[in-house]
Amino acid sequence: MQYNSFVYLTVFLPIVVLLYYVIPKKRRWIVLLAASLGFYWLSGGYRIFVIMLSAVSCYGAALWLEKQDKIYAEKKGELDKAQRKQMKAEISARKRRILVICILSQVLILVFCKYLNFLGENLNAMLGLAGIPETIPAFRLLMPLGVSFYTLSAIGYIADVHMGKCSAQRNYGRLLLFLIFFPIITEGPICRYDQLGKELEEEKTFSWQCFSSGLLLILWGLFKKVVLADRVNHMVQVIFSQYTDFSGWAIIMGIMLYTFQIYMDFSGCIDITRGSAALFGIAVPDNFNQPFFSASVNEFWRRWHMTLGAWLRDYIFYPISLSKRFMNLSRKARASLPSYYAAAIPSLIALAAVWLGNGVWHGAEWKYIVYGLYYYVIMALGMLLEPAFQKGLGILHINRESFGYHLFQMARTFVLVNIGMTIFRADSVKEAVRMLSFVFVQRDQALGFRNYVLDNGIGKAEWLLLLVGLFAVFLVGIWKEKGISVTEKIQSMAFPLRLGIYIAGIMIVVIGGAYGAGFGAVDFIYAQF
Amino acid sequence: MEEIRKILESMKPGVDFSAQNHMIDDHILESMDVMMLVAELNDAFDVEITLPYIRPENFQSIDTIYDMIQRIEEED
Amino acid sequence: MNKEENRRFIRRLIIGILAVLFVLEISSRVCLVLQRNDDVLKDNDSWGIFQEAEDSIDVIAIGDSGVYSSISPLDMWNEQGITAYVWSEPSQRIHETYFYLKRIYSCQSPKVVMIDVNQVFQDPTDSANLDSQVKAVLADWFPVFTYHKYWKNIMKYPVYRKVDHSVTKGFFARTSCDPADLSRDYMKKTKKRETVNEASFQKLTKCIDLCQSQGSQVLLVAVPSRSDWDYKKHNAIEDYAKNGGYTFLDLNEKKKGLKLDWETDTADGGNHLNIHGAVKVSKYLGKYLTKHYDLRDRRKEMGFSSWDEDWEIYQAALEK
Repeated sequence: MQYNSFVYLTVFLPIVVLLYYVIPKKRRWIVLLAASLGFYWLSGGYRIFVIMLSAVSCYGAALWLEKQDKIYAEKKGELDKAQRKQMKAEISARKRRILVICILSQVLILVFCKYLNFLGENLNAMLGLAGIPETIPAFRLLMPLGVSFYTLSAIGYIADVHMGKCSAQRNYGRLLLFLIFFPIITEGPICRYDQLGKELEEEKTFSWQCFSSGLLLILWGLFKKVVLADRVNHMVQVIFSQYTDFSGWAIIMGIMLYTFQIYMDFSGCIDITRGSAALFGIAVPDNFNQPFFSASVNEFWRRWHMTLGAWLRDYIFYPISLSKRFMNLSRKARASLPSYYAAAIPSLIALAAVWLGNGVWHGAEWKYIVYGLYYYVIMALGMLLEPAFQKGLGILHINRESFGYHLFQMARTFVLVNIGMTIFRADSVKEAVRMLSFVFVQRDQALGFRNYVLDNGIGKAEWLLLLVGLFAVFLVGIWKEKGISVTEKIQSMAFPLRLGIYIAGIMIVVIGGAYGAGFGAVDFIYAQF
Repeated sequence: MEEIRKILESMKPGVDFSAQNHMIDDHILESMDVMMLVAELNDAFDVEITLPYIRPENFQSIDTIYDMIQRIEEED
Repeated sequence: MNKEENRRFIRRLIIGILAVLFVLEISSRVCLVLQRNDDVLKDNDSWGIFQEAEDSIDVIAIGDSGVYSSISPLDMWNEQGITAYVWSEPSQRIHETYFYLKRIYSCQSPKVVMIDVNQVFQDPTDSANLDSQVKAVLADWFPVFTYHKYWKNIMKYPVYRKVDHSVTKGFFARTSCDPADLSRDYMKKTKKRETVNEASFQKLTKCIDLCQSQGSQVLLVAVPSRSDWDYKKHNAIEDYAKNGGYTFLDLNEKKKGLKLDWETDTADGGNHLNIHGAVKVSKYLGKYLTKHYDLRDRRKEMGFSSWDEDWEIYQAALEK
C-alpha cells in the first residue's frame, strides 16, 4: 500500500484516525499497532513474521542488557574498588557479546533478504574466473518492506540501550510499534527510540493545530510526489535508457530532472509520513533541510537524508573513532604530523567506513558502493586540500564570506551532487561514466533539448505546471531558511481563506496529479532500498 | 575550564568559545571536531570519554563539557 | 475546547467537507467535457453513449485501450446494420468496468456485451486490486479521478462545444503505421497459465452476472495485441470460460476471415491496431455476431438515419 494510493489516503488513514480518537487514550497505541500490522500484511504478507521474529530478539536482548546494569548497580556498594573494576569489566564484556550477537543477527537478516544475490553473483563470477561453472543458484528473495530502514532503527535501539542512552522497553507490542509504525516503515526516516519511542508512549489528545498541520503536510507531500516527481518520470527514463540518442544539453537536462525527481519523490514521501503521524499527534523527525542551498558536499549530506547521516555518525563514525585502537592511532598522528593533518587523517579513516556504509546500505550493487566512495573522495580531497585552498583564495583576494562566493559554492555543490545522482540512477558505473562523457560528445541527428525535451517529453502546459511547482518549493524553502513556517501562516488565516487553500491544494493534486492512465504508477524511489 | 577553552581554541583559532552555548546546534563543532576534542580531553584530564557521553547536549558549551568531565571522574 | 468552540469546529468541518465534495463534482463535469476531442477520429468519448437514443444500442464492447483501437462500430453498422458502442478508457480496470456497465444499463439494454479480458491481468496483487477497487468507487462518484489529465485542454475548450456526440461511437482511429517486430511468435503455444488475482476474476464474474441479469448475452473477447497478450493469458481465460460456461473469443488466434498483417495493421509496433487492423477486426466481429446472436439489421428500421450520417462524416474524416 503506497502512501499516495487511493486506499491509503481515502480508506486506510481515515479509518485509523477515526478509531484512534474514538478509543480511550490509554489504548490508542494498540490501534496504531494493529494498523501497522495490517499495513505490513497488506504490503508484504507473510514477511511480517520475519520482522516480528527479529523484533523479539531486539526485545529480549535489550532487557537482558539492562538487567546486567542493574546487577552491577546493586552489587557495587558491597565491593571495594579493585573488585568493582573487575566486575565492571566482566559485565561490559558480557554485554558486548550480546550486543554483537544481536546486531549481527539483524545484519544477517538484512544480508539474507537484500544482499544475497550480490554476493552470489560476485562469487559466481570469481568461480567462473577460476574455471568453475556457475554453482550458486541465483534467487531473489522478495525483500520485506522497509527492511533497510527497519534494521537501522533496530540496531540503533539496541546500541542505545547498551550505552544507557535509553531504557529498554518492557512491552513487546510497544517496541514492535516503534519498529514498524506504518507511516515510517516504507521510506523512513530512520527514527531513534528516545524520540519516536517516547512519542508513541505519550497519551495524545486531539489538537486541531497539530491535525491540520498534518493535513497540510500530506497535501504538500502529495503535490511534490504526484504532481511534480511522477510527471518527469517518463522523460528521465527515456533519457537515461537511450542517452546515446540525445544531445549534450538534453542529457544534462535529463540528469537534472532526475535530481529534481528523486528530491521531490523522497522528500514528498517524508512529508506524507510526517503528516500522517501528525494526524495522531505524533512528531517524526524531518529528513530534509533544503539540501540544494548547501555550500559544500559535506553540508549537503547534513541536509539530505539527514537521519541516515546522523545514524552513520552515531553508530559507525563515533564508535570507530572512539575505540581504544583508534585513539592510540590518533595520538601517534598528533605526535608526528602537522596539527591540521593530525586531525584530518584519523577522521578520514573513520569516514571511509561511513561512506562505504552509506553506499552499501542503498543496495547490493557496485554502483552504490562507488556512489558512496565518490562522496568520500570529494570530502577527503576537500579536507586535505583545505590549507592549499585557503592560501590560493588569499592570493586571489577572494572573500569567502561574500554572497557571490557563496553562490559559486552552491552551484559547485549542485554540479557535484548531480554527478553523484547520475551514478545512482544509471544501470552501472560504466554506463554512468559513459553517459557523463556523452555530454561533451557532439552528435549529428541527436535528439536535442528542443525537439525532445520541450516538444515530445511533456506538453507546454505541463512544463508550466512544473516550473510553477518548482518555484513554490523554492519559495517555501527560502521561507523555511528564514525561519518562517508556511503552516503556521496558513493556520493563522481567517477561516474562508484557509478553506480556500485546502481546497486549492486538494484540487491541484487531484487534477494536476500525474496518476492514472498514461502515467503508470511510480513506486517511491527509496522504497526499494 | 580554562584548559578546555585552550584546547578548543587550539583546534579552531579565532572563535570566542566562552560566548558559545550551542556549539553543536550552530555547527561550530562538527562530528570530526568532536572526535578530535575527545582525544585531546582524554589526554589532558586523564579520563576516558566513552560512547554514552557522546551526546549533543554534552558538547554545547565549555560549561557542559566541564560538567561531563566531572561526572566521568566521579563515576570512577 | 468549550461547547461553543466545539460547535463552531463541527460546523466548519461540515462546511469544509461539503465544499470539497462540491468542487470535486464541478471539476468532474468540467473534465468530462474537456476529454472530448474536436478531431472526429480521435473522439472516443465513452460518455457519448448517453447522447444515443434510449435502447438503441444492441452491442456493447467494454475494456481498455485495446478495445477502442480495435473495434469500430460504424464499420459493423455499414456491413451488418449492427448498432454497437465502445466504452473503453486507457488502462481501464475490471473494477471500473463494473460501474460503467451499471451506468450503461440505465439508458441502454444491449443484447450482447463484449467484455475485453485483458483487464483482469492489470492488477496482479491483492493490494493493487484493493487500490483499483477504491479508485473505481471514487471515480464512479467523481469521474475527475479518471479524467483529470484532460485539464490541459482547457485552452481548446471552445472547440469542443461544437461536438455533440461521438461520431465514431467510442472508436479511436489511429491512422499512422509502425510495423511490429515479427521475429517473436507472441502466440507460441504453451501449457503454462498466467496467474490472475482472485479479486479480478471475482469482479469479472460479477460483471457477467450483471449483464446476464439484465438480459444480455456475454462474449469474452481478447483483442489483438502483441505486447499485451500471449498464450499464457489465453490459457488462463480459456479455463475460466470453461468453468463458468462462457463464450471466449480470442482474436489473437489465427482465424478464418481475419487476416491481420502486423506490418501494416498496427500503429505502435504491435501494441494497438491502427485503422486498417480495426476495420478487419470489425468486419470479422460483425459476421461473428450476426452468426451467433440474434441481432436485427437496424438499417431498415426507422430512427437510425443518424447512423448513416455519422458513417458519412467518419468516411469523410478518414479521406482527409
